[in-house]
Amino acid sequence: MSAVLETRGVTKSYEGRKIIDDISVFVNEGEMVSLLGVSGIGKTTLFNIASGLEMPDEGSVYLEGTDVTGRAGKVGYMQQNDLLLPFKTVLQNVAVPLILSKVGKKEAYAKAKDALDEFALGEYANLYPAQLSGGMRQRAALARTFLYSGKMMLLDEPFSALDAMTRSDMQKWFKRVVREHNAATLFITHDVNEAILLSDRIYIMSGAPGRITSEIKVDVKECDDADLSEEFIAAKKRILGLIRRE
Amino acid sequence: MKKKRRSIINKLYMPLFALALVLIWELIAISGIVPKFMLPSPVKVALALFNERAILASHLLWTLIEAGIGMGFALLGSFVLAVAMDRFDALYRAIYPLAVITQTVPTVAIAPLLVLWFGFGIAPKILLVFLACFFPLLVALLTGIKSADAGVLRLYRSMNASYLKVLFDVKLPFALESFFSGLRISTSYAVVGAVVAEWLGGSRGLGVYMTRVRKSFAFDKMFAVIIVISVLSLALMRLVSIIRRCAMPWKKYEKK
Repeated sequence: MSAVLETRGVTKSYEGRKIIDDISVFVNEGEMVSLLGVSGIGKTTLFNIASGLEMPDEGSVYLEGTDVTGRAGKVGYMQQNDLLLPFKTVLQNVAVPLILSKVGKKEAYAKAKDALDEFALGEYANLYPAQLSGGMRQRAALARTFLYSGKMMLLDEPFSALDAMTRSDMQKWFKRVVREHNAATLFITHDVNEAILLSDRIYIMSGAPGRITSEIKVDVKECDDADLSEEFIAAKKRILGLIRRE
Repeated sequence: MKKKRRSIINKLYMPLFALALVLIWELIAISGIVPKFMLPSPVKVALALFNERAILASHLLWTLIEAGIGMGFALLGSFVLAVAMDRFDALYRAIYPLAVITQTVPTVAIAPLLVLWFGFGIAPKILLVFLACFFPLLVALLTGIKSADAGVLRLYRSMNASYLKVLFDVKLPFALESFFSGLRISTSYAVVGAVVAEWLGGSRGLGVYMTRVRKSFAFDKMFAVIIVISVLSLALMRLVSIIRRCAMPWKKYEKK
């Protein structure tokens, strides 16, 4: 099986300083993969390259086997903030990717409405982002990313701006939706618990310049208190051990 | 409840103070400290305002037309140029510093020149209003366009959006806030610009009326026309605020 998204030997420097070095990662169909590492390690740089916004100095990006290095618009990319447009209603915001891809207005809004219903935001469709809570805004932003590309999504710390309670609910809900759609996701986090809960595999990134130093398979059964299960604790111990060793 | 009463009291300070000033003015006027013809009493000014209402209204309409046409051209021109400057960076680098500098040139100073060039018709009036409004509007629009959220711009780029889409979907809506503050200032510039141009010659308009009553030493009418001009400016600014509120319905939900 070929990977949905793959980076091969991606390297990037800014002003003579190497930020990331020889990064090769892949995400298979329907797989949830996370990129774990401290802030400033170059995770966002890697995402900017993977999404085609920036060119790598060396290396390439492949989407379903095709070279898409430096070509934007191929994968869904959600950045740290929700980035909802304050002057558009929730429905209009979520419909943006469809309208940009030249889907007719009527159809775009109908699809966006369906997505909102699925993301439990149906009744807020005609409100402005400022009228929503942080969790709802983040859900709307996810819905928008989803509508852009349900095939491959890059998520840059999607839940980091939320309070702990909301975050936990969002993580559970998000995992369910992604699984239902068999979507492939690669997401950045600096939260070990989040990485374990939301991934099938974890890449650990560390050093300066940032490199992938370990890769771990995670197998935590999905249940209500997954973060108290033995598998979870074992995985956490392993990861913390690996991070400390660096 | 207490809070509400407090806010009512807070709102009363200004009108009460203004009323006190008018009263003092009335007292000085009737006391005879200042010669009567130089400082008409508020009552006389009110009477002049009432008696001259038909004439004032026709002059007002004319000034409003000049200001409106000049402003219309300024809006159109500044919009086109702002978009072009946003699209082409070289244009921005060439024009923006000049646009900022030209704002320091007082429009009053170029008015006589315009009259010499374009005569006493409506052209110099419209041109002066245009010049007074164009650069503030241009700078406000550009500032607004440049204030568009960098993250959102990146998001649109990640979705392969065309320049026009980004312009209408992101940049211009983000620019509204700054545009409306520019428009607010420009409306008062427009009125002042039209009146100043009328001072220097013409047959109609509040500025023309003003020079006429000045020559006949009709101080009460002078005060009356000053009041009309102030009220006109205030009303136009108020109108801009109302349009702004209708154009940006999401603003009221945003926390300060």
